[in-house]
Amino acid sequence: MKIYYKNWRLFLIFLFLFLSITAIVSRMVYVQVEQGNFLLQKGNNQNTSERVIKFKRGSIYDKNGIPLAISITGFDLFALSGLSEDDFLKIKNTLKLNDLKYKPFNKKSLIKNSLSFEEMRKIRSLRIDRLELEKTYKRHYPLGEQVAPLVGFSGRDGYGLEGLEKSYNSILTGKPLRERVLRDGARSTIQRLEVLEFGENSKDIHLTIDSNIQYIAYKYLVEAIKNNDGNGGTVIILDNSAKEVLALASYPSYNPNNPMRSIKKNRAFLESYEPGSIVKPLALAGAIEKNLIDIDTELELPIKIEVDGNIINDRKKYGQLKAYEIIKESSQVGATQISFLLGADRLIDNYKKFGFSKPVNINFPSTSFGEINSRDEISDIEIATLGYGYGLTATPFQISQAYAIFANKGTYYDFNIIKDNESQIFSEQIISESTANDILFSMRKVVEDGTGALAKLENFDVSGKTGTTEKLRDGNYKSSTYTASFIGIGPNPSNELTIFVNIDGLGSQKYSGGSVAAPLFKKISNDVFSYMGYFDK
Amino acid sequence: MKNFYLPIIFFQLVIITYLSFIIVDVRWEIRSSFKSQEILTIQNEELENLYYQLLTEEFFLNSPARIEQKAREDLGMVKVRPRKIK
Repeated sequence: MKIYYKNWRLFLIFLFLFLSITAIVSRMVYVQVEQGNFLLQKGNNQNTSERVIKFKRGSIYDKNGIPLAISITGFDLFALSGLSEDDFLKIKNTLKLNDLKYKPFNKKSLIKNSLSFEEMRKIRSLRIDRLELEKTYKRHYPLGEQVAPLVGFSGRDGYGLEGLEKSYNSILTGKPLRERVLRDGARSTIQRLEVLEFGENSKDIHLTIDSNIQYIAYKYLVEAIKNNDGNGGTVIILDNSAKEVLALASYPSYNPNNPMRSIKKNRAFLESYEPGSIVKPLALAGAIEKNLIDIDTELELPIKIEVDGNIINDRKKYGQLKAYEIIKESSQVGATQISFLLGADRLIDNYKKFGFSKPVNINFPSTSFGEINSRDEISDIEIATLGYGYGLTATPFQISQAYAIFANKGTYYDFNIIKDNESQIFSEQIISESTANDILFSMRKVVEDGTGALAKLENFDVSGKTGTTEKLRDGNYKSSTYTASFIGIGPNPSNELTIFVNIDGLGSQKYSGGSVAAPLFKKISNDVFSYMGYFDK
Repeated sequence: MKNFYLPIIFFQLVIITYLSFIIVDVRWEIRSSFKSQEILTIQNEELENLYYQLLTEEFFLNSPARIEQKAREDLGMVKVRPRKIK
């Protein structure tokens, strides 16, 4: 006690140290045990973060490797909360953002989007902490409106919104990669810690479209629509031997590179319409196939016939016409007689065999496949009109595929628009080779001196058929609005291409397939045959 | 006995120190490789942009639309109809 008493100061120091150490140890135990997990989490959040890596959207190319849709890499610049005015001014001067004014940043805010690589490097060299650069991809369509209704476009988030961009979105996008990364004080990623979800790389798509043929088709289509005061149209060019679509132009179109674009539909797949006389060869093919008629069979045709109180008439009295001449002259009375020979069931079945009212094998959003009037109690007038292309609807693409059967010796093929060597092409023998040749013969007569004479080429032989349709609006046929169509197969004898053209919304001045669509076919086919080298054959 | 354990402890300490240095070195290498990868990715994308630009330019220069325009406007050429070679 005496010693204690004498060294009381020493005792106090020991006591103070003891209490301090006890307090520190208690605090340590408390922090470690009670708040350990919470603080560990907080520390990890500051240094690590989860990031999602979206793969660059795949490109779309034509058959020659020309880009139709590509993604250009850029960077978006964000200010994080607490960015000082001095730093802001440095950024402003570097990027020459004269209109931008400083205001305190309380949250992550966009300063400028779509920075180039050069601008990105300049910003990085400033070494400013409270900044974040995010990689972005901007979609670009080099061919613009020429292929817009087919290729479509994707949104800023990289999701396909229209056309092939939409239907092949999952292939073009891939699957994003999720990972946990370690970041330094400047929020730059310095290490990948773990992969949370494995991604799948995006893929490119190669189309069967040839950009040069597409250009020819689009150029003449727009020219013809403007010259004839039409309001829209389609051109389809099929390669009969490769079973591929070479061009698919649709007007009106839009510029997919413009963010303020107004979407226009792809008429080749979406606009099903009453095809008119263009279906007459299909009905004749059905009748020949059933041995009801021969290509040279003569039919007696009055100038008009009455069916269910309705008058069906021709432009002139033909008297006797051979079956192929019915196609050549596009006789309504002759087509009616062929319809009656076939009867409703066989006629409808025949159209279905040619692919009408069935979906096409092209993966395109909202594709229409038309319909056929196939009620149980179908009247005579309905049978008659089915023979010359009313009472049924089909898309331009269905009509093109149906005609390709004649070029392919009676076999139906599903045409491709995507270059894919692995998939099997569906095919089915629809009519015999001799029937197909008979129809091609009658179609050649159409161009030689029939309704399609304006489609005749100087250096190439082609087969074709015209079609003129009055437009049905609100249940009535408006005789003031027409659709003119022409479909041709050539050059003979190889018949490697099927070319379909149509112009819609024509007035009453010049509206027939022979006067409007046939000359358009002539211009397109002349250039396309020369481009494809048929000139040298 | 004391003298027997001392070198073992010393040897273990040396091993631990060496391994610690190795860990630091490997971590540094991972981080620098990661950074190089990021830089290379960016360079690759920059080159891809350039590639697309050149590809588009090549198509534009070779396109029939431009050739036709040049022929008509600059050279004053008229389109010649093809003729059959006999």
